[in-house]
Amino acid sequence: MDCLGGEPVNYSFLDKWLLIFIVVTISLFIVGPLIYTNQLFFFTLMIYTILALAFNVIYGYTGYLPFGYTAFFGMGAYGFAIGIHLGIGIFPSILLAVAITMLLALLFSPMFRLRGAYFAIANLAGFEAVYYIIENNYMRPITGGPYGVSIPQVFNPTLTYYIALAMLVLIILINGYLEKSDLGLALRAIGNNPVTAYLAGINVPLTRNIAWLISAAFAGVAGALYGWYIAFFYPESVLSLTTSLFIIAFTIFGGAGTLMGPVIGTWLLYSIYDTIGISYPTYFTLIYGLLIVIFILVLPNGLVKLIEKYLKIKIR
Amino acid sequence: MESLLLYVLVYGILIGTYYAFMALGLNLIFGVMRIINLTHGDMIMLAAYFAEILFAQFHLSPIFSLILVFPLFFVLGLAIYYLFVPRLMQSKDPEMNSFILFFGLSMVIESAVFIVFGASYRSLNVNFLPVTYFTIFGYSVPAVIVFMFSVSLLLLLLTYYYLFHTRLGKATRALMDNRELAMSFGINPSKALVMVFSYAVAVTGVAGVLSPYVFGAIYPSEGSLITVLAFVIIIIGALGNPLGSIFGGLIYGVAISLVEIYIPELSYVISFLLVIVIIIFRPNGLLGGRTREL
Repeated sequence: MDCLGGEPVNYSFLDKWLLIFIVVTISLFIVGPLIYTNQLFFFTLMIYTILALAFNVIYGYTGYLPFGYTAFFGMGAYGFAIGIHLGIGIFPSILLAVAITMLLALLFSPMFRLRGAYFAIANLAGFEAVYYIIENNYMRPITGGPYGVSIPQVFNPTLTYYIALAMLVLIILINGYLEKSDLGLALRAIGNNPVTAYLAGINVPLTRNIAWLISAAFAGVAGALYGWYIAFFYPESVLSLTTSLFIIAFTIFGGAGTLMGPVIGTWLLYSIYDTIGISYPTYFTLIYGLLIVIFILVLPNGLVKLIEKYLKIKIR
Repeated sequence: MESLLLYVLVYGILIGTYYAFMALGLNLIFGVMRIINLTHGDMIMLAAYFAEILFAQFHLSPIFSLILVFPLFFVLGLAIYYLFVPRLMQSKDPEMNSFILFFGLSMVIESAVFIVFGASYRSLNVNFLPVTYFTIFGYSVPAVIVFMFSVSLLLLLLTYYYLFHTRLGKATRALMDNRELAMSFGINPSKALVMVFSYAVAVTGVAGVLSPYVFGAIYPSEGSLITVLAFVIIIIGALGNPLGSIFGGLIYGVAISLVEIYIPELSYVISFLLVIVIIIFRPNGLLGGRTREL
């Protein structure tokens, strides 16, 4: 990868691209709802953007594809609801959600002993286990089982919306920093070849686990915010494989391993989904499947790399 | 009580053999090509629809569908192979790319079936055999389960013969073991790969015709569930080792039969927990060798 050789690495992470990017993000989510008055759309868009960025930390850099990534999102939502039911207040509940999500990530971390596809499948099985545990009737006192949970006492969509925006900006900044940091470099090195990375003095399992925990924490935040925003959900609504699939498709379409790719991918594809997908779900799935097949055969590096190649510029 | 336990064990072995056979195609393709066929369950679903339509429209017995489906799915395998596999093999990371590509393909198949046949549940005729029930340890076993077991066993043996006693099968195993080494001994991979890919799809088709008797109903979205189940089975055995999937199928069959008799509410949780425990302690499956260090 070009970050390891050739041109010198730019260590100031706050460059013009990141600043433009943040200004665009803030204005989109503040001005957007005034023009197209569907706050839920913009909120969901933000949640997916956070998830795609979080997913990119692990998949984009190290190449490990956590197929059951939704487990973290769902855990975040349920962790938040449990916190609210315990009566510890909104912000401690978000922290609790993040803690539970990171604990789950720690529990899943032995999966990194598996290579590429084995890891993806093991992760999927892990997700299924989480789903059936949460959905089980025995868990009714804690998770509500199949009947879902409701937390109407904290329902406050406007506040949630702006906190989500703040979190999104924060996570973009952290991702921008991560990309240029030593940790980011180490992760890319692992993604290229773990053995070479190890020989270069990188503690491979530790570095990978740090990235995994960061990624899970972001997803947990997204889950908690989503749970707070909708204030009533079933296992199926926060623990659906469709969410994983969306995140994977968004990230790959935009360009995995780039800073802006996952975000641009999410904004484009989710907007298309919102326009046609909701009214014609089956045809949409058909088209989506075809798109994924075509991307992976024709455009495996994503949209951002394509733009960079044709305009001969270097975006992040 | 004791005879119930014996009955459950026998039933578990009967159904476990089918599970092993059901996962075989997935494991063959993965073992030889490092390609994750996420459309595995969808192929099973397609074959089940095929048998159902032949029965409902033309009153053809499922036995007839079993014979027809093999060449038909062999050709389907050839088509999928030539459409995608050579391109995939040239990409930077074939394993990961195949995972995503076949995932997209699986969505396409699922939604196409949904558009054509609708979402309603269908079932396949059970009464095509001369007897309906066998009695084992005082409990009855549907004849169709015994029939399934026999077909599965027959095709498992056929696969064993193909892999261990034919020239192409031996070449396939050599490629599975070490691709570069096998090629340096003059084995041309493409022929063995095409054969094993199409054979795997054909075998999956046969498993698909029998699938309604295990999974109960035929519906468009059952595919992804079956794919996950097939993965569970081959992870328990050993990924990429065709004999491992037999072991995995039997363990899964017995375990699930026991759980379904004694604690039915937990059957899903237990099957996935089993996988997680195995992944944590034996990441390469119960029959697998060492794990990698990094």
